[in-house]
Amino acid sequence: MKQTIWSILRVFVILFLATLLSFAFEQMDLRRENIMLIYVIASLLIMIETKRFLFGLAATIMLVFVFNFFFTEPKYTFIIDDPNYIITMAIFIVVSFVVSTLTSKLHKEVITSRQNQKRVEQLYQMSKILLNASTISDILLKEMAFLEGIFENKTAVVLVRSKKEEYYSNHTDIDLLPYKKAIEHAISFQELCGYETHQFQELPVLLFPMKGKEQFKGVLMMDLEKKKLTAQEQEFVETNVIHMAVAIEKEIYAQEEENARVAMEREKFKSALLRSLSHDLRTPLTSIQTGSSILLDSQTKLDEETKRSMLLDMNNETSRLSEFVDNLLNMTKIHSEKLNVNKRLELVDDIFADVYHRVYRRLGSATLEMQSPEDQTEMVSVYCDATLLIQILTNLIDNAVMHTKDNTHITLSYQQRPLDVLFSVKDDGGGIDQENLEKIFQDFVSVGYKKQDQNRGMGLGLSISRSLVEAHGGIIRAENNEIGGATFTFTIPNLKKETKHESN
Amino acid sequence: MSQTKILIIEDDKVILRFLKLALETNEYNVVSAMNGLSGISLYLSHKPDLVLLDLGLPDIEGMEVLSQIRESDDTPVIVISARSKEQEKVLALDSGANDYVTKPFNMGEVLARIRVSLRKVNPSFTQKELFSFKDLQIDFEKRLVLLAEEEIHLTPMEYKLLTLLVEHQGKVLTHSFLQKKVWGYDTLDEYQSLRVFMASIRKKIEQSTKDPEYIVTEVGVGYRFLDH
Repeated sequence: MKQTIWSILRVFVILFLATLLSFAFEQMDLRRENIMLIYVIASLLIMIETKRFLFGLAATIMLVFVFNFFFTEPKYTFIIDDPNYIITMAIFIVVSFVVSTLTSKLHKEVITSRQNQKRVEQLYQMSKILLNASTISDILLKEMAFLEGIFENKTAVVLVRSKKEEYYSNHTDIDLLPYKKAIEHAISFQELCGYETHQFQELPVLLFPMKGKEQFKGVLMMDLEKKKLTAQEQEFVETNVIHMAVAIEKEIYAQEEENARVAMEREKFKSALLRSLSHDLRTPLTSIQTGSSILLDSQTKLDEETKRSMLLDMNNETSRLSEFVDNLLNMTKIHSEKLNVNKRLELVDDIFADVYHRVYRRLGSATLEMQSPEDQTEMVSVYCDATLLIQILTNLIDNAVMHTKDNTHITLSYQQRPLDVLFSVKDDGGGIDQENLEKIFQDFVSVGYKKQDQNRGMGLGLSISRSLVEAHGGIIRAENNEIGGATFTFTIPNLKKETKHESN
Repeated sequence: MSQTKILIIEDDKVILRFLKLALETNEYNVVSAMNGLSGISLYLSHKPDLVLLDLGLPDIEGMEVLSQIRESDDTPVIVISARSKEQEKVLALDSGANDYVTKPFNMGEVLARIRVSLRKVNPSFTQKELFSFKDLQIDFEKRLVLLAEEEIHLTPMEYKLLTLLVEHQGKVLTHSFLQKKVWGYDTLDEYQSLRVFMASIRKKIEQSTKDPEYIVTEVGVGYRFLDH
């Protein structure tokens, strides 16, 4: 309203100034044609000012009458003597008509241009959102929320992938059933249908088709209840739907790539497993087979002591095999996520005793010492799965025995700390290359220590140890120590106080 | 005197053969079955002095066989179980089995356990005055415990536990068994106090807790007082 009042005011001002100027020209005895031209200018200004067609036209007619009144014979009347002036007035009106049309068109263009710019910005925003969306569901829901934010109409998406139908929507009350046929049509023929289109024009919804190369076909359904779309708005939605399709396709490809990678990993693991099974089962089996065949062979004469020592070796090999089988079993359980960790409070001394019992026969030339902390007054308990903790320690000791020089001295010790129990297995038998300190914990890696000899074991022991430590919520690491060997340390977290209360 | 008769219920042919061989070499009379049902019927018909029972039988649960045996008799039963199956062992022991061996086992261990289980438990055991094993001596009358001639102080609970273990020397006693015998009731706290008491006893009488001479912890199962 205010705008209109100001416009009217401005029109009158222009009129007034034009008239004033005309009077001035008349005084100066300038020709009538020139005065008319002033009024032409005035009329143009009025057109530009008013922007509205009818308004401008009315103003022009008023202008014509003013001119007629002040400057045509007879002056100060609305009578026209000279018929030429009628033509003049007519031309006036035509000119203003033309200009008015032009300006109003221009005005409209400006508005459209601004709108377009806004749309482009919105598309840009959408792209940014899509960049951060991760799953297909995410992409679709975010896109729909975006569109719903602009148009206020509810939307839903139906995707068909490998013969399965998937539904996505931000609204749970959207009912797709009445539009089933239309949806199917849109998906199969990839044709825009619905309200006021070629197909299904009686429906109050619009169906925008979308598809990815071979991967999927779908449709975005927009309920037109709140707002009908203009042609331009429809185009905007179509553009967005294309964006969505592209984003989904990208996502599908990424997923496939991931699946392929996982499958490849599994294959690699299986072949590594087979290779090492082959090697590490055969080795002890070979010595048992060979040993027993020698003992069976009546031709070979052996004294009692030799026989006994061979049998002892064979017996030790079986305990190694047994350990290996346990490790293998644990490893497959870990990889198929079927490992049960049954934690209970156990005394560390008890665990150590069991470990010692298991490994003492396999020590060979190495010596094993088990230490308790010096200031120990209380019994130290550790919250763990006893079988698994024993496995961890056994593996670490076996590892030390296998990978170090002869006559290694191995020390097993522990320390009670506020949040966990810290265990360490320390040897003096040659350290580990700096770059391998992390690598040795990987599956099937059997990295030579600084010692050159043949490495036994496929490097499962350390990898299992890590998995079992982590299954308890602890951390394990290796480092070189000051006595010329390696120290493996790991933590087992303590039982949290609250849990204790709960069980009471 | 007739030989001691042992019934072996084991489904693996090779293991069965080795067991038979070892037992017969050690002058035991052996009968065997390769599944649970024939095992039970052999038990009923032969009335052996001891049963070696593998818990992983093909036809019925080893536990089922155990309960059938226990229904009629107190015959000592030693169960054979796999390494990772702790719960199975404890369940069997608490259901009446006398002892257990873990596969893979050493024959020496099996023979030792058989010997211990066959030993008749003297009902008036605690009436005897003295118990002596290596450097440990227990005077039941005076309730005195000596280690290498020096007296060691045990709390009443610790003494009770020690004598219980000694009474069943060579046999494994489960946490549950000890708990019930000493405290009168089973507990849900994972035998915390029991463990602490046991650890305390061991600290008092053992030189090295890692390589014990008297009491051995069978992780996940219970405790055993050694007999050799």
